[in-house]
Amino acid sequence: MGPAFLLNENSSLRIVKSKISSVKSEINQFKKALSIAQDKTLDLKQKMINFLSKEEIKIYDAHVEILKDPELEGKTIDFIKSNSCNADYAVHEVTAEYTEILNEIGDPYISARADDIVMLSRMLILILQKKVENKINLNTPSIIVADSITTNQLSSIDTNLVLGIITSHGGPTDHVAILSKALGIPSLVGLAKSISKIKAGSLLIIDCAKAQLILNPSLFYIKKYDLLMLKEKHESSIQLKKSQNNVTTKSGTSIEINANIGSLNDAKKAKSFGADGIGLFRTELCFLDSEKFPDENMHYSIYESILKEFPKVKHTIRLLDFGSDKPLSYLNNIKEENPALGSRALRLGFKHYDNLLKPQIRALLRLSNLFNIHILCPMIASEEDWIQIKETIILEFNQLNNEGVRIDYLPRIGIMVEIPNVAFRPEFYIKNADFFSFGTNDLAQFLMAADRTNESVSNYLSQSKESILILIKNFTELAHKEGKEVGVCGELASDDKCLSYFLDININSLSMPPSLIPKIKNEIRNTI
Amino acid sequence: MIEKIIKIKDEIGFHARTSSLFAKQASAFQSEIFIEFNHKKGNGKSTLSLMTLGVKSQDVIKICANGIDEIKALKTLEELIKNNFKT
Repeated sequence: MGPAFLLNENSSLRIVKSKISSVKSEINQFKKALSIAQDKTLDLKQKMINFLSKEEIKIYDAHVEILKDPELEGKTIDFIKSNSCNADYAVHEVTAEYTEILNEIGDPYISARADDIVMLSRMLILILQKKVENKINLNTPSIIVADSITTNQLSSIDTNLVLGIITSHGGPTDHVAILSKALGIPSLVGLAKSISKIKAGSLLIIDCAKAQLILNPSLFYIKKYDLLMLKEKHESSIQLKKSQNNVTTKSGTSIEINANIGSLNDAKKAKSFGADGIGLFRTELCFLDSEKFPDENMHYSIYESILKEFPKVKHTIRLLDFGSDKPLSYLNNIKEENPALGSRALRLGFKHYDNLLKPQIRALLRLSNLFNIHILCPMIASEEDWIQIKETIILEFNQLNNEGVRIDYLPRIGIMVEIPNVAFRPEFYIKNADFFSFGTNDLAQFLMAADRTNESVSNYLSQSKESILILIKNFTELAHKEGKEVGVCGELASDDKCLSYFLDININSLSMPPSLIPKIKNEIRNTI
Repeated sequence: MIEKIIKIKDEIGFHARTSSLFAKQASAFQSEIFIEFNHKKGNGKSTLSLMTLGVKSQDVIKICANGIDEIKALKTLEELIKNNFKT
C-alpha cells in the first residue's frame, strides 16, 4: 500500500539513419559500445549479487552472452559496411529483426526474452549516442507505476523506497518480475487496462496473493490491508527472529552461521539477518576508497564504525588481500601478468610494510580491547609465510604495550586456507595457528589452474568441488584432534548441496552473504 | 561433419539462459556448430540465433559439428543437453 509514482515512459530514442564518412571508425565505436555495455551489465550483477540467488543472478550472465554474441556483432558490422550508416541505426535494425522473430514464435516466455533484447539494444544505442538512461529518483516510499521497467533501471534504484511495482507490459516470467520477487518487492505485471487510470500520488494497494490492484481504496480496504500487512510482518519477523538464534540440526549438531561483510551496510544486514558473528570481514574498502596510504587511526575509525553496528559477537577480520589487479593511486604497483598469483595480500603488505600492513595490524590490535577480534591471514603458502606474519603481529603487540597502549590479550590468529600447499600438508599449520577458514573460491582457482575472472575457463571451477570437500574433511579431522576450529567462507559455504556434508564432518562455522543466512539456518533446522 | 539428433528435456527449451550456456560451450570449439530445427538452421555459437529457433521442451533438434574437434564438441554439447544445462 502506498502512493503511486508514475515513471514517465522511457524517453523514446531518436534513431536516424545517416551516412558516415569512416566505416572503420563507426565499427570501432560499435565494438567499444559492446564492451562498455558488458562492463555495465557486470557492474549491475555485482550490485545485485547479495540480493539474488545463484539462478537469478544468471540473468546478467545471459545478458553478457547476448552482448558477446558473434551473430549480433557480425550482422551489425555487415549492416554498417553495406549501408555505410551510423552504428546506432544498425544496432536498432539488427536487434529489431531478432525481436520480431522472437515475438512471432508466440511463446510468452520467449517474447519476454525479446524485451531483454530491446533493453540491451537500448543500452547500446544510448552508449553510442552518449546519452544516459532515465534514472528513477524516488524520495518517499512509493509504488512505481510504469509501462515497463528494465532490469537495469530496477537494479539502479534504492530498493528501500520501493513499496511495489506495477507495469502494463510483461508477464510473470519477466526478468523484472523475477528480480522484484527476489528483492522482496510486491509486483503486478501486465496490467495494461487499469494502469492508465492511475494518477501520480493516488493511493494504491497491491495484493500479490490475489493478483489484485485496488485503486483509491475506501477506508474499509485501507483498514483491512493495514491489518493484513501487520500480520504478515509479524510472521516474517518470527522467521527472522528464529534466525537470530543459534541453530542446531534435529539430531543436535550445532554450527555457527556467520556473515561475510565488506562495508557498513553489510554489517547492518549481518545483524538483521541473524548472523552468529562476522566470519569474514574484507578490509579492502579501507585501501580502495582512500587517496593515500590509510594510517593507523583511519583503519581504527573505519573498522570501529563498522563493528559497532554488530558488537558483542566474534569478528574475524582478514588482513589486506589485494594485488596489482586493484591499482591504487598512491601505491606504485608494478603491473603483473598474473595478479592472482603475484605480489598480492601479505606478499604486497610486507613489501610496503610501514605503509600497508603495519598500520592495519596496529589498528586491529588496539580494537581487540573493545571487540572479540580474530585476525585472519590470507594467502599463506609456506611455513615461512606463517612464521613471518605471526612473529610480526606479536612484535607489534609488544611494541604497543611498550608504548604504553595497553593491549590486554593477543587476539587469535588464523589462516585462510586457500593455497593447496597448506591444504595438502596441514600438520605444521594446525599445530601453530589458532583457527582456520577455508577460502574455497581461491582454492578452486589454484587447484584447477583456472582464473576466477576468466569466464572461458569458469566451468573448471565447479569441477573442483569434490577434491575441495575431501581436503576440508581431512583438514578438519586433524584440526579437531588438536582442538582447533575450522570454518568455510567461500562460495561452497552457502551451497545447499554441501550443507549435510559439512554437518557430517562437524565443520565449526560457515560464512556467507548476510541475505542467505535465514534460508541456510532454516535448512539446518530441518536437517536430521 | 558429424550430426546427432537429440531431444530437449529442459522444461522451457532454448530460452535466454539455456541458449547462452549452449553458445558459450559451443564457442569453446574451433568447429562450426549448427542446430537444425523445424527447417531452420541456427548458429550454435550464437545465443540470439539459438533463441530465435523457438525450440521448446520435448522438441527434437539436430546438432551438426564440422571441424577438427567435431567429435569432442558434439559429445560435450550432447552432455550439456542431457544434463539439462547444468554445468
